[in-house]
Amino acid sequence: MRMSAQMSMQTISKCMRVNRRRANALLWTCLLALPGSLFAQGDSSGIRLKYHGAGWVEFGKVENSYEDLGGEIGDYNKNWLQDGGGQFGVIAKVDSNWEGAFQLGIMEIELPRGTAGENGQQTASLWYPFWTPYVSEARVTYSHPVLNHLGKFQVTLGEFTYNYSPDAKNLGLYLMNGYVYPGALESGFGGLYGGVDASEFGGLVRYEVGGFHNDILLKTEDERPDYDWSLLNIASYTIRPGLEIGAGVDFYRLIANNSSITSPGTMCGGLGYGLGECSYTDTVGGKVDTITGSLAGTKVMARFHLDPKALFGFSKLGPWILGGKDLTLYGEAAIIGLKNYPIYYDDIWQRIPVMMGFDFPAFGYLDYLSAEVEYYGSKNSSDDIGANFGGSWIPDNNQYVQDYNTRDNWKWSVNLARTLFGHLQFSAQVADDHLRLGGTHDLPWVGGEVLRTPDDWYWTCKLAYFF
Amino acid sequence: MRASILLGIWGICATTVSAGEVVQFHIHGQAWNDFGRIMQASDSELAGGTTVNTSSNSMQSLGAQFTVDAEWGEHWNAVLGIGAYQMATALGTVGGTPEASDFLNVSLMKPISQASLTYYEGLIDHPWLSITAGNFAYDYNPDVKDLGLYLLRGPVYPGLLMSGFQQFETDTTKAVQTGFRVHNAIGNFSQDLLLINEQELPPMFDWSLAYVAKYRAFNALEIGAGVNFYRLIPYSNALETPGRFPYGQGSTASDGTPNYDVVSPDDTVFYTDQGIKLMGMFSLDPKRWLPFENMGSEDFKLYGEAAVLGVKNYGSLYNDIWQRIPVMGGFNVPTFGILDFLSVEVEWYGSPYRDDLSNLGNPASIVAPWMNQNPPIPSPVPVEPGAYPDSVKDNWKWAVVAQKTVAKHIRFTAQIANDHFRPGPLVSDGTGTTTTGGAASVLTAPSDWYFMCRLGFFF
Repeated sequence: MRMSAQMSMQTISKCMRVNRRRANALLWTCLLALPGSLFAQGDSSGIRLKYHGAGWVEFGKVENSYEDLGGEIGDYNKNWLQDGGGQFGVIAKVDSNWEGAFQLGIMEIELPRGTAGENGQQTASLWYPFWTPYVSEARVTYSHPVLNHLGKFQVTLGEFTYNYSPDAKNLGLYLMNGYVYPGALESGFGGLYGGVDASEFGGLVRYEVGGFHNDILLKTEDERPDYDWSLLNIASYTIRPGLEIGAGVDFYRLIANNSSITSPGTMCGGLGYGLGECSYTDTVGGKVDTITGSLAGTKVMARFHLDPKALFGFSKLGPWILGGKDLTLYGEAAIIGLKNYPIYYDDIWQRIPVMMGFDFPAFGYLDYLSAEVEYYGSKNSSDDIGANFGGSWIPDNNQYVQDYNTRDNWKWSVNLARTLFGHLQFSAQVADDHLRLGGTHDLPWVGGEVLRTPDDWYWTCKLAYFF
Repeated sequence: MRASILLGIWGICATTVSAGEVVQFHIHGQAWNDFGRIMQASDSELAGGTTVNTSSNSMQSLGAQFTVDAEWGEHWNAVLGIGAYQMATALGTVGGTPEASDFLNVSLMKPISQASLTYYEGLIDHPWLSITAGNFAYDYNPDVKDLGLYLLRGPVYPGLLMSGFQQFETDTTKAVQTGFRVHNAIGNFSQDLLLINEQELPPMFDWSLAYVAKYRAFNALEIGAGVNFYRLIPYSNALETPGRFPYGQGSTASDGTPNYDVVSPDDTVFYTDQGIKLMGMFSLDPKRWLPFENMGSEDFKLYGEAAVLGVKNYGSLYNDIWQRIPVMGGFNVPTFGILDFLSVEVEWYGSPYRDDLSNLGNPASIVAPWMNQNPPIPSPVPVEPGAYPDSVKDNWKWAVVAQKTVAKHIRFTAQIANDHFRPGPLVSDGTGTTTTGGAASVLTAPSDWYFMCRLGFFF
């Protein structure tokens, strides 16, 4: 293992989180694309085993990233991205009610180094790989039919994958990802933060009957401070085939592991760099108030899925046969924090991200060709460094926001994928999203957004083999 | 690790050489999720000069492993297992300030969970003779759920004990020994000779020679005894007695405690990592004499173990053998099939020293070995002897462990304990990890305790 003695544990941690999310993205992609009959099958003590595995390489480049204003923040402009890995998993059907599953793998991370230090260019694109093993799934599920098998009741415990909006390729999934205060959104390629969602540790109770589907989750947070428990309820209803609506609420960090960290009062030390403050003074109206708050908050979400093919019952466009995802329109909106605080969170409209996506007709030549657009009118810094490392619920005192009093409210992403021979998938993305690369050698900037201006963008692609 | 990989390759090669024979593969797997909380911890880790108190701190981890068991011919068996175990850090307060715990600051343990090759005579499950080489599991006292297993866990000088929730030493699916094992069984008598390489505690790579013999009488009582010539063959003779290092390089431990004792102007005692452990154990299963029906297989079992951690008295630090004798007893409370077992274990150990491994070498090596690439010389003396009057308060340890298996493959396990748990905090100051731990037991007062629970499945 090539690992420097001074290797930032934050960077490793972030990468491990990324690994699990990427791995889950791949798992979902593979499982959705793979006919069940292709699973290798085994048997041990009467249980039915289904093995699955994958290997992949990923490659890309940050074509344009915002200018470094402070000299210490990494500049990822023209920085190559690269990683690869493999994973292996099993789904064990114990009996008609019980099922277990786990998945483990290893991933080579090629840290996108950007630049760091006063001279700015010292470490750009330095070859700096290391290998990280991970466990991305370890769950036990109990299922029981209800209403004479018209519905299903299911309880899952452990580490499990969860995704309430399988349409989303990159943007969206606001309920599951990111802090409430500060309301920094998360997304990236291949489930990095968005798209297919990550592993969750905790419990999931699912009830579904007919077109109605309801999930209750009690999960721990995997962004610092960890071990806080969040309670979510997410429901969806299929009105007609091809038209689905959904909504959810997330009582984020409802049960704090350590309330003095989650709701620090005025006792947060901060990180320096103008980050990590936990209280501030409000002097509006001539009255001086000390404002304290909490990382805890409430998110609400609504979404829709519209597939005109299923809704109106057609499968061709002229002579052309449409693919399964073609023409699907989908969208999601959320309120990131119902509670207002003075100055930074005094306008709820600035805490409402909205995204829309459309799967262009690819007529079977591609699995999908999607375009997604997002608007988020927050005027705060898009970083979550202060929250991640200082336990701060206050937006980072980001120099870009401070100096230019502006930010990139619009995000976009174009994604495509093509599966070949049933076991080989090529996917690619061009985007200006909420990519957070991290990777600077000894600085905690893993929570900093790389793409902040309308000119910023990157591309990346992946070749994966799976069975 | 290197030995594991080499032996794994050896196993693969052996399979290839025997390709003419039918090779039977058995695949096993398991996954688990742990969750718990340190409810009260009086003591603090002394990690990197910073005090870390883990009281009221939650913990969380998960792991999974695959194991392939290959048999060919009538005498050969090879086992190869891979897995990963993401262990969470357990931060409480650091220097008096609350610190956010970080699930993702994890230790990844045992990527190779087993890699061994066995030649056996007789039945594979009960051979009368077997020889195993590689990285293998070995548990001489399977009754133990938490406390005990003194012969092969922990150092001799200082005589520190090891225990904790679901430690690998109590699990026969995870290798904890690297080296060689010769097993022999004749009727109710069995014996094991082990030559094992030290891969847990500095100084690393020393070889220990251990012997364990057991006899089962009346199909109800098992007694056993063992000896461990700990670090008999050292990797480096000089490292075993650091006080003899030239130019005083190893004259003191990390905490400043001398690695020698001047008994008189003409007599200086040098402390050493080497030593001899002795162990005695018993297990009594009285069910055959009890009138109850529907008893579980583990119900009513009474078991115990005692050891001498270093038979040699020397210097002022190790001059009382009674302070080096831990004793534990356990009882499986009858649950009549409701649970797999419900065990209560109690231990007494009259050591006057702090339950802290940090003088053995680089404290960071236990959690984050890359943190210090110039670690101090391992020391065989306890941490600041005499400076911790509270050390006598932790003479008693206890654990209550329950387990329930449903549908033959789903398993719930829970433990409440005041044992030798050594959580591994990893402290960040925002610019990088600066403090590590994992060396000290944090449960040092009678009021200290924690709980852990596990949900897993296996096949």
